Amino acid sequence: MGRFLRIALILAVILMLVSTTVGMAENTGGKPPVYATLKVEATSTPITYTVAGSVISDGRIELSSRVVGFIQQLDVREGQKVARGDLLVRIDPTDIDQAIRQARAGVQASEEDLQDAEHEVEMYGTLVGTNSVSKETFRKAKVRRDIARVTLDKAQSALAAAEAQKNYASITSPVDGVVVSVARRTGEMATTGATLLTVESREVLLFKAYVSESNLSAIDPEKPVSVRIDTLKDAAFRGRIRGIVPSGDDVTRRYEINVVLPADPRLVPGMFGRADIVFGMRQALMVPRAAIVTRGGLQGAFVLDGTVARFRWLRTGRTIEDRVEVVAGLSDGERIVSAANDTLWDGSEIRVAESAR
Amino acid sequence: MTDPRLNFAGRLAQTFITSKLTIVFIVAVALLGVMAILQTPREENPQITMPAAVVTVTLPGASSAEVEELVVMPLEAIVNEIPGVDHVESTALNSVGLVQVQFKVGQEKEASLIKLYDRVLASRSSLPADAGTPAVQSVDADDVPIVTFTLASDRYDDYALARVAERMADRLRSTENISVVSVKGGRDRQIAIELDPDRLQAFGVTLGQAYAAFSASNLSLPLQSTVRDGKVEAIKLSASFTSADDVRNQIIAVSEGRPVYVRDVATVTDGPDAEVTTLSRFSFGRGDARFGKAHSADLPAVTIAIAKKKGTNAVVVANAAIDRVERMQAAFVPKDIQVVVTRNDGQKADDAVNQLLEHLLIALATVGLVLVLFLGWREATIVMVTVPLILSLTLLTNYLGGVTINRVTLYALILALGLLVDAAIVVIENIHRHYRSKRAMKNKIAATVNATNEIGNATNLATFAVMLVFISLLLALTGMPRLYFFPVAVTVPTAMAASILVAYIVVPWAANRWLSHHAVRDIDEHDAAHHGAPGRVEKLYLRLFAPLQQRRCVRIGFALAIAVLMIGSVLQGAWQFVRPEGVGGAVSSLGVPIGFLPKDNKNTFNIVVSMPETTPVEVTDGLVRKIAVLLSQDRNIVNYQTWIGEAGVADFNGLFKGTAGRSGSHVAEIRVNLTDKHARSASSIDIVRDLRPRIDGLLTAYPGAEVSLVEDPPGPPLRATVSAELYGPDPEGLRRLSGEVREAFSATYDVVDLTDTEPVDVPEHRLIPDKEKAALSKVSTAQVAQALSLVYGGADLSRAHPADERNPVTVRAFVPRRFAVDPTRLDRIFVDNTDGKAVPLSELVSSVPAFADRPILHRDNEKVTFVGAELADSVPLYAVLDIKKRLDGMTAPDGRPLGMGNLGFAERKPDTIDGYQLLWGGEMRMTLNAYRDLTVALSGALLTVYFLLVAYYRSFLIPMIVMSAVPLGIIGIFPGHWLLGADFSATSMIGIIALSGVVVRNSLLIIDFIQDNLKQGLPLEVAVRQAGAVRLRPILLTTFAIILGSAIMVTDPVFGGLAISLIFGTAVSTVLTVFVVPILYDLNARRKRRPAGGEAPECAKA
Repeated sequence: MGRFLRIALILAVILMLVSTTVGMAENTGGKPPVYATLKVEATSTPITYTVAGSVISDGRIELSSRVVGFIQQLDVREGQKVARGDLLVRIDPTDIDQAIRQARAGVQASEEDLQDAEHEVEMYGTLVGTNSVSKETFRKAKVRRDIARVTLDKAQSALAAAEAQKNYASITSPVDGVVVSVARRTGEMATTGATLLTVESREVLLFKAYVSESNLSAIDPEKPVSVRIDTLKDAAFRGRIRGIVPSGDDVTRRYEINVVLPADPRLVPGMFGRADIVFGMRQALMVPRAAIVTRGGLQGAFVLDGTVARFRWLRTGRTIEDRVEVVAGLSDGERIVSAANDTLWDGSEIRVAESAR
Repeated sequence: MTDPRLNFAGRLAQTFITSKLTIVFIVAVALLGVMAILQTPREENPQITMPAAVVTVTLPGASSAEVEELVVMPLEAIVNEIPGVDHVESTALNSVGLVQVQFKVGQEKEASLIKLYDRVLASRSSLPADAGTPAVQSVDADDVPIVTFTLASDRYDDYALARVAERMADRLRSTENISVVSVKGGRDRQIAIELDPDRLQAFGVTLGQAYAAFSASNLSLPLQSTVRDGKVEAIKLSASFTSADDVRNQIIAVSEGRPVYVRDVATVTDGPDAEVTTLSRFSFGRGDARFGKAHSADLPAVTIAIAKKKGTNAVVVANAAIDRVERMQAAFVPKDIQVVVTRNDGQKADDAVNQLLEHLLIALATVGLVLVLFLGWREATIVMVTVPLILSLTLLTNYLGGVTINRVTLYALILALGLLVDAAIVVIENIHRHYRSKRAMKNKIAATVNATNEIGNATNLATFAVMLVFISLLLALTGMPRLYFFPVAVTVPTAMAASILVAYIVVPWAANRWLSHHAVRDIDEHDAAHHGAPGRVEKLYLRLFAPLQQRRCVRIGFALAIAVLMIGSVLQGAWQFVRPEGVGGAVSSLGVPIGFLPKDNKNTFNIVVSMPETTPVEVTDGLVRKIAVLLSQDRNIVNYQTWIGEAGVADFNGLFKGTAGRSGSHVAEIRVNLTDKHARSASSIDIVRDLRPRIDGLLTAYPGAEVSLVEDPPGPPLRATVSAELYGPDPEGLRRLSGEVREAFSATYDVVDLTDTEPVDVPEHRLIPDKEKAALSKVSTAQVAQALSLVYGGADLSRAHPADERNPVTVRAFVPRRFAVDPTRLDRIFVDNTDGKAVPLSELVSSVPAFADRPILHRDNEKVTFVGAELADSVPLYAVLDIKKRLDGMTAPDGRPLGMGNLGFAERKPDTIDGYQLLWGGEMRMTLNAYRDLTVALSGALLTVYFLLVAYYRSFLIPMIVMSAVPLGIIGIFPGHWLLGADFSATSMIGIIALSGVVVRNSLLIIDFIQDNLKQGLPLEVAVRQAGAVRLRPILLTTFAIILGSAIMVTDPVFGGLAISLIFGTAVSTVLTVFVVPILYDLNARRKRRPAGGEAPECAKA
């Protein structure tokens, strides 16, 4: 009985295997391949005015010393990233220290003097009651005490000023940014107003371009501008027009325009890019870039004709992001294969992926 | 030995009857005949020399109206001074004027062209100073390729195919008698500099700088040699571009101290042009075993087209080319490139000629069979031996006279076959008759000569009449039909002349050798009814003849019957014109349409696609692909090749239709090759008829698209079947008129493939530089133009010199489509001013929307526009008359009635003094011309024959009786066409002319015999009856020979009409002639005898 059962089991397994393989063979061999399709529809596409320009930085800070003195320490190099508050330059502080000490001594002397004057006033005050000193003497003692108080105040502020000088001797970065140029080296003399180094802020980047006079009136500063950077594979950044410099070149008839770019670590000032300024909208047939294939040296797409894919030569126009405009060859409402591969040929029978229906 | 009494026939017979020369003559003629067959060039159709040339003059920047006034009209005046010019058609386009000069048909090509060159170049001063030098280019039918090979592959693209094709073409050029070998299709190698306007702008480089840099840095030149170390050494400056890398690394500007390379601002590629404007594809149809084998039905294709030299044998040239291509395929052509012969006119000609030679043999055999039945073996053999000799002589004469072997020549031979046995039959019959007499046995030679001599004059006369009839064709025909039918007009008379010669030389000699008295006796016993005792047919004839001769009312009844039949027959042809429902619409059930030449069953047809001028090439391609899907479903199609953006390989028909040279994004063509016509049941006419509505169904998605299915015409090609030429003073008015006429066309029955020459308006962006602003910005207009030319279309900067390259490689700079610049906003294009600052073009140029200049067409010095159409199934005459009715009374745009003309027999030249005018052209005009000429030929022939007979009979009336046989033939003609479902065509008309020659001969023989009988003293009544009965057999024999000889032609579309006219006309005419002619003679003779007396009241008795 057990043997019989085992044989039956084995037979059943074999039967199942055979039937499944047969079924699989039918599935893979007979039916045409499945492709995703999409219906071509005219979508409203912006009419853009494209201007080329470069990314510039808005915060460009030239650091210079307020104090005169030899540069004791200047360790940053061009291209180095710095954070707000990082020490950049230290000027030799010897002179300042001396001045502080001198001021401090002045303060001490004034304090002593004040103490003495106050003591005198106290003493003369009790004596005046007994008329041992004249009222005049008491008055003079009070004047001397007030003067000593003012002198101390003066000495204290001189000390504060001397101590403040010390702060100017060490220059810290005012922004998060990059050191773009270093003009002096350690040991050189820092003079007042002379640039020591330049730091560029990464906080606000601008896109600077020139627009021609004829397009000036059509630009709406309220509308966002898309800026594509070539080196970043046409990555688009949404920017906002900050301003149009209202003074043009009378020969080339161009006006400078500044677009504020969003903060993005990939953006670096000096990058070449194109700003697409939207003038209006129009209806255009846009298809995904993947739908466009080359057959026999022609660019086109596969158009669905019943269950047959027919190659159609297309005139493509400009590319906007990952979609290509079809200038001629397709009409509204036709269904195309949205991503064709090399096995698809003109006249191939295909099945449409269910999701696309 | 020469007897002075002998005539031409007798003398020839006497000279050759015993001479050894006869054998020499026979052998020589036979050999020369074989040589002629092998040597004479073979063609499908006769060569039609119609010299034409196009004079092109450029006038840069001028509008089409300016070009018309300043270039076209002076040129037309110059061309009109040249004698031999038939028509002048001109087109004034923006910046260019084209004048096509059409010389009269048959004018010498070289002489005409030299005259044209001479006049045009001498009159250079009458053109504006800034006009270019006139370029004269001949439009040559000889340069039409006879063989085309298409290279197609699913592995190689057209660029690779073109390179293989170039190599193959090089190897083909040395083939004997090949003239032009061209490679059509395939993109050329070029170094493309795809400029990016934005990058240029970013690098501060302007287009002008780029342009200057490219052209200044590609230089190579030999310098003066130097002497060093006692040797002369050459010096060469070598700074050419040799590769794309050279171009890529070229510095085009220095911006802010940094060099800017080409690679920084452009993408440089080396290879085929990526922006395709023309292309060709090839597909196998279901009729080919290779259908469905490739990945895709459409394979990229390149075509090698081969033309032959004038006057050489198409068959030989084609075969030599095919042989070379096959050897090349084995030697170096990659195996996965399909090399398909897509056109082989040599094969076509050879097939046509061989088929006709076969038909000729069949006809010969049938005639032989008739002869055997009527004459007996020996006589039949002798007659049949003469036939090849006559044909040999004819072909030899043709060869020497430069007439090629073509369909028309061979049809002429088949036609002549029925006629040329006649002379030999008459001679042998008379010899036969003489041999029966005892006297002949004494001197056989003398009897033979005598017998030949006896019938000499009558035979000469009869033959001469036939010759005259055909020669009249030669004199009366004009234009293209003359060249087309020229072989008929030459070959038939030649064959007739040769037939007399051979009948007088060979037949007596052969009779003398092989025809013994004995044999004659045997035959007489076998065939008792030959002479004397009447046989069954003669008895029947006499029984029918008697009442006619004796009773007046029977005669009247007979005459009435003939009259009714004749009216009926003519009505079959004329009914359509007089019927109450009008001339348009389907042909009435009993009617016979009257046309020019019917369509033929061909192995190929052409689909000509013409979209509105604003159509981009991709959309044109879309329609073509949809048509191709329809084509791929037809089992009868072997292959088809599509051409998009340009016309296909020119063919003779396209050259005349004006579709051969077209190009532009709205143009396409599909050449469809069908399976061999013997291997399919459907004719090409059926296939086209089925296809047409299905293609029309596709056109709803393409408004304004015109698709014509062009079948090669059987005869001479024409612009259109129905063509209306509209002349008028004002282009706008013509345009409106064209629309109205087109409307009338489309409302007409059976009209298909409507075309007109009015293009749709093409929107234009007119870029107008603001000169003041430009000057203030320090930019010149020339700089603006240079920059714009780079942006739109690009510029060929120079030529690169890569190693191992056989074709010129151009360096082309352009702005690719992905950076396309909107012409309404030119802000991305910069030019640099004299200060070196970049100025955007948008500030200097304003774009004004307008429409492109419309071309202005002229024909014969008048502004013209054409409306043309084809007819699916009917003949142009009816359609034209129908349209005319619709247009009658129409007011032209100037308020005056529209003049209409060219429907008469005389062709009119355009003249717009009285306002707008419509002249009918196309097949209609040629039909009228041909019918006019043929009518003239017929009347001329009849008149000449009449005068000949007057001279022969010395009577005015008897020739009339003789010629009464001609109108009798009409009775058979139209019913014959109706029975076989054929159109009455120009060849039917030629058939009538041939018919008149043949039937005159019949009645001539009857009358000759009556007069003979009368001379022998027989009474009139008996003489008449007897003559009819005795001549019945020979007449029937001749008639059967003609009918069976031409029967093989009936199926041919072109010469079918001729055969039908001849067969039915001769049959009916013969049957009636044997009664009518004797009776008329009888009546005439009786009237003479009893000048006063009327007829006896025989009718009353009956």
